[in-house]
Amino acid sequence: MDQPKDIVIKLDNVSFTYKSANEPTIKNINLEVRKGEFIGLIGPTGSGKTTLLNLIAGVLPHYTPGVLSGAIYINGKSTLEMSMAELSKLVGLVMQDPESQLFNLYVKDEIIWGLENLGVPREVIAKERVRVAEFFRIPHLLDRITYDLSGGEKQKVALSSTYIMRPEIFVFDNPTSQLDPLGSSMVFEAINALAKQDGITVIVFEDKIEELATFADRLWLINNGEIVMDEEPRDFFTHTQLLKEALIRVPAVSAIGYELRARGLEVDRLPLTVEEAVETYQKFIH
Amino acid sequence: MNTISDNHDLVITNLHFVYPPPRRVEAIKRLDLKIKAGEFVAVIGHNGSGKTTLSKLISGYLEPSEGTITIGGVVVHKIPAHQRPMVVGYVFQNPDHQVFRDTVWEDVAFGLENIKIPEDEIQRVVRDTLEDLDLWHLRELHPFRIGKGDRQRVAVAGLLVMNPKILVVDEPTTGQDPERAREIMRLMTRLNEERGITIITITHAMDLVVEFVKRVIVMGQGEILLDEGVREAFSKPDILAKTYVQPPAVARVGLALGLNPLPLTVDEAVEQILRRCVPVKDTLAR
Repeated sequence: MDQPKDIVIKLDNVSFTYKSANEPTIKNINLEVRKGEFIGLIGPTGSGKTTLLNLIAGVLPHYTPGVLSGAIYINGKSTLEMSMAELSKLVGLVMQDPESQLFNLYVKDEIIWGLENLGVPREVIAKERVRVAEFFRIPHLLDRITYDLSGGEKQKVALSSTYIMRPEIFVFDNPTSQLDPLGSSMVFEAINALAKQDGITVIVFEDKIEELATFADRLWLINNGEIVMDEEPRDFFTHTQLLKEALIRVPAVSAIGYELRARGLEVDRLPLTVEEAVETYQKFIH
Repeated sequence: MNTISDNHDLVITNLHFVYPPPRRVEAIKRLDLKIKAGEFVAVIGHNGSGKTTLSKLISGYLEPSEGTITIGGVVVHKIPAHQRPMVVGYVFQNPDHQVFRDTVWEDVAFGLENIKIPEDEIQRVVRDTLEDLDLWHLRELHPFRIGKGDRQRVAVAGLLVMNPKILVVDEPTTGQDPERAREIMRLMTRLNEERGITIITITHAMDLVVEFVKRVIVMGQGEILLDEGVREAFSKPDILAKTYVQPPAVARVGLALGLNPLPLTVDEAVEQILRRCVPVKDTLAR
């Protein structure tokens, strides 16, 4: 497959129909992702977003039966031609429900399980465990039983055990759904650092559109199995009709700008973050 | 002790809770709290601040190490387990931990069957509840074959048939897209208004707190840091920061712009900015 060198993910007219389903869950999707991009995926429940993420991570159709047409290329190679072992070294997937991904008794074992399987030397593993635990601020959880953790703690452990594998591509399905606001921002900053500093490609589905608007390079809107928008954040939120159809709200700080514009104020640029909003609206205040 | 009075106020006095060995975590520290019958409150705070422990204590799943929790003057953990659901119901963070029978109907009827209610009465109550919660058409299905949002309503229905005075709802919106999260909060609002049920919801979703709740209890390190109206609480970012909570985006913009009273919604922010605005014609003239 000929493609520019920095394209790490390419979806070529991809459709996917689950076995025993009548119609496809994913319909004719064409997408390209460059190395180090931070992609935000937005869409309502049942839009096909988890299926899309699982296709990119190769879990589908490797594990769940179904019919794939078109092809997904990771670093130029079709996921159908790769073994799951090969794929899992390239793509790390953090699933929506952290419980479905934790299976060791202790947190300290859960985090290093992947590295142990690769036969990484013990001293390296020990160092990595400390580094990753500190990165996600969970050293105090290492001796706890995974089953005993709170939802947010489980989520951080699942993130740690994927992060330690240093995959080239990271796919996150709702990674902060059970985290408190600080925990969420921390995870988003960590994900952003992966993309901007380490050149890791990240695709994140998230309900917190404010966070995605702040960090993502590009946003995809998925609805009814189709990608209906692929835009930079500032342009993305100007397509109000498409957002409305997908039941997606415009971030509150931008919504203020829309309304002020409608009321006759000159809002030249719609803010996406609180900081931009303060800057933009400051000039109207006496 | 056996009769529960008409007054279903929740009164917590000098509550202290330490998890048993090996954890020995001091999760709740000398806490006093009163919630009147029919209130709708939110408990917010960082992961590990004691929110879930407090809610399990209120629901009688945990026994205080010291201090008392009474509902209508009756000590909660002394109410026999099969009678407790008639006083207080606990909606788990993950409905998968709560539903367990083969059909939606059986799952919802379970609590009534346990307290030996006549069969025709069970039929009536379950039917009414399923219809009220828009679950009637799913009654023959296995709870794990329906969507997560529906499954969460099944869990709520199973509690409602017991006619509880208080519902404790732990992270009701986890894993739901924002529109469905609102649906659950609307359901709680309706149960609160129509049936007078006290709702205590634990949540990280500050925008939902703003939209649905009047009183907010802010927890940090096992203590109550703030207990007041939503607008007042979100006006104190310094105290909220201690428990890693940020006011919602609109409130943060309002704080930075010095708007008073603090706007919590897009509409409030727009009105405030317009009121403080440099006269429109000046802006246009520039």
